[in-house]
Amino acid sequence: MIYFEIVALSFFSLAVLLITFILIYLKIVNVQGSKHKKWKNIVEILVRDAIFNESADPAHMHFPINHRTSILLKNNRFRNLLTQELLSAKKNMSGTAATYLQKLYLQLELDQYALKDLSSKKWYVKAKALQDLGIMNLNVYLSKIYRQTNHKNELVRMEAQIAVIKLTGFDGLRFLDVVSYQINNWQQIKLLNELSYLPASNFNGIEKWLLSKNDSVVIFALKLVKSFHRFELHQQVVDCLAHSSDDIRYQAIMALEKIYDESTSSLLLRLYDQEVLKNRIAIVKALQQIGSEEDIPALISFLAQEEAEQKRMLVRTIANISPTGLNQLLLLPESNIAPLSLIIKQIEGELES
Amino acid sequence: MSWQSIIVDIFTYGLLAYSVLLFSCYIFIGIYSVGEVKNHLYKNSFTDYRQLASASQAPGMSILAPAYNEGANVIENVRSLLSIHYANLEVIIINDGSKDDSLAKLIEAYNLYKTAYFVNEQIKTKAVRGVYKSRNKVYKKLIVVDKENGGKADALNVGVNIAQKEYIVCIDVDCILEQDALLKLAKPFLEHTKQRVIATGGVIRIANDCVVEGGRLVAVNLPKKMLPRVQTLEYIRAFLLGRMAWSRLNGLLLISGAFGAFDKEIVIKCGGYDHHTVGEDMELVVRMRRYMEELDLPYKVGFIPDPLCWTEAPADFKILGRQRNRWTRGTIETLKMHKVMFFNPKYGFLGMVSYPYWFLFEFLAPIIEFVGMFFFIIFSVLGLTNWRFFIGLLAVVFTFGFLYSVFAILMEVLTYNQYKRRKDILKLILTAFLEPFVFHPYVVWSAVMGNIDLIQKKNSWGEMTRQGFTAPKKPN
Repeated sequence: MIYFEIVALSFFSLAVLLITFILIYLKIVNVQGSKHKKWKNIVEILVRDAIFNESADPAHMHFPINHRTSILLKNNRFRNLLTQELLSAKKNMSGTAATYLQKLYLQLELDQYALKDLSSKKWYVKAKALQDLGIMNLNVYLSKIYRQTNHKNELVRMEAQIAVIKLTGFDGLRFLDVVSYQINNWQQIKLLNELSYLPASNFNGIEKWLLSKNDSVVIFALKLVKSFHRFELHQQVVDCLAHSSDDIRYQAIMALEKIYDESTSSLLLRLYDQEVLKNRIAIVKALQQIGSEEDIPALISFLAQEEAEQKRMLVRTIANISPTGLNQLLLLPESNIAPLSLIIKQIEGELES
Repeated sequence: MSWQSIIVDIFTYGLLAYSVLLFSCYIFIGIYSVGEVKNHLYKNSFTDYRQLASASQAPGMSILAPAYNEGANVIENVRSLLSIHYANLEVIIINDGSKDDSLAKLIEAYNLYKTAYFVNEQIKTKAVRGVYKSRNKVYKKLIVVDKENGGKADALNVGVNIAQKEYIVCIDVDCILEQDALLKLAKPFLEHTKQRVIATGGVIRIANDCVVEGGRLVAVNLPKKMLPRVQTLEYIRAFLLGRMAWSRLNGLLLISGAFGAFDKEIVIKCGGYDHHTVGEDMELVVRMRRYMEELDLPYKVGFIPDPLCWTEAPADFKILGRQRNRWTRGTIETLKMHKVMFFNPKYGFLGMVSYPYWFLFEFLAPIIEFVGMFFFIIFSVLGLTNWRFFIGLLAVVFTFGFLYSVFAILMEVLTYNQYKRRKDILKLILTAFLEPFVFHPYVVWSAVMGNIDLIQKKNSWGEMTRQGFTAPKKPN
């Protein structure tokens, strides 16, 4: 039974040890909090002076750094704080102010620390370094960054992909030629968001990416077609409607909604019967925008075979295409029978409100 | 050796073996959760949720909030839900046949009108009396459904039938959500390419004594009363350690009914919430997982350690007892409904690990503890108790429980550190020390009563009186 006492005593001692650690940690956090406040003041002055610099020759400028700051720069925490402040200021700046911030970053040799971190084995250190170099627009390190765009760690390659777009704009998308890992939806949102800040450009490569063996690359390429209204790629997008992946066909339907021509709606209607439910819904939704009165008979013919939810979508589309569409529906014998009668009433209400 | 001493030995060593097994599981959970929390925090530092808030590609979310006799706070609660940052959103309030003036208040406050609406009954429910929308374009995301009373599960099923978005977010109408809660909950659905994320949940925290203004949490305080404070500790332990570890193992069986997001298509295919159980939240997750396993489809149930939702914890023993009684019945009902999975290799990790863990350590633990105490008294009366063994084992159990709680507090301090004052942390440590004496025995008793009630076929939800968020004052 002595074992119980030893075990209980060990557990209790460990708990006391953890409590001591918690209390010491809180104390350190407290002390660092006040130090952090002082450092923040120093950092803010440095960043402010860089932004509002009035030097006539930006190419040869040198920011005065006092002795205290020079010593503090050797401290990891101070350097991280300074880097963070510089990066958040740079994110919100453009033009000369952004250039000055980049100059200060280089003068303080913070890029060297980022480069060192780039070789780290810890993914989050590596990813942070990539993020920093991208935000600071350090084109000189492009090749080092580009190498990471197909890194095995998801976060590392995500940050590298974002960084190359920051550095080279649409040209940065060339990583899509080689990326072998799947690009998840979250990353696609981030990439499209990054591209939305760039001035419009007729960049090349989409044709190639639409034929990629990596399904996520094809999906992303279709999103690019949609977002940048690349009408000239209509045929290549139509070809994607024959792809074996449901998701790719879905994105192709979504893209065609934005780059449609006079043949698109009839093409989609022809495919309707062969498609999976999700894609049938997408077709009907797309036709709300691109359909014409000529499509109404085909849409009405689909009503008989569909579940109630899809019926509602079809009726909504018919009503949105033309007010006469609803009249045609009312002529159907089943228009007085639920669920169609109820659906028609709902859509009539939606049109009125 | 007499037959009495053989029985006593079997009993005591059985109890010891069970305790060792339970401790081993807790130690594994505690250590294993650290990696997942750390990983999430690192990943989170690269995430700008604002990108998702404005993205046209963000997945559509339908918030489903059942309300029964919530007239006192319903206007504010709905306002809070409507203020959530998310573009592709609809808010569906389901008035579950309230006997008070909830509906009238909503109609007046949000300028609602009854609209012709076809309710596609993909899941069978009680009758819908009407669907209301607002004339005011500002509230175009709002849909109020009035239905016959049928309980929470039935109300949620009506919400599923009405919802038009891809994902449903089920919440308790009186919960306070963080402004970016939905963005955080939506992200896991976008992150996986090889597995389908069928549900995600986030951390629920205790809001007693926190400061709430205009439906938003503005200051976090540690509850002043002992009972909510113990539950604060209990929630930290359960969410930050337990659920994170199970999430890492992809073996999570429960997404709290207070706040969770689900893939609507799978929910409908599984038949929606089951109104025959009082543990409809757990039962749905288990059924969804079982459905995916039976079809051999790769899937994941995600979990986020960020505090996303704040709720009021029971502040008196009577209400706490009802809650725990209901939780126990819900667990047993769910386990019974899906007993086919118990140690069934066909269900993989779910059948071989998750389900048995819940059976052995969630369902059986309070019963074994209660029976252990009961027999200890019997053995004492009969003079058969090995006092040294018993007290030794009790000391081990107590010190382990205390250590586990302190570890959870440490994790909280190192990660989210919601209770910033040193005094609050010390209070939490003291609470951890007192919990086995003032809280735990009552929870065990409530769980045992839950078992008895289930045998007697009592299936009431139990009234949950809440004090509301208006009482607290800002601390000095």
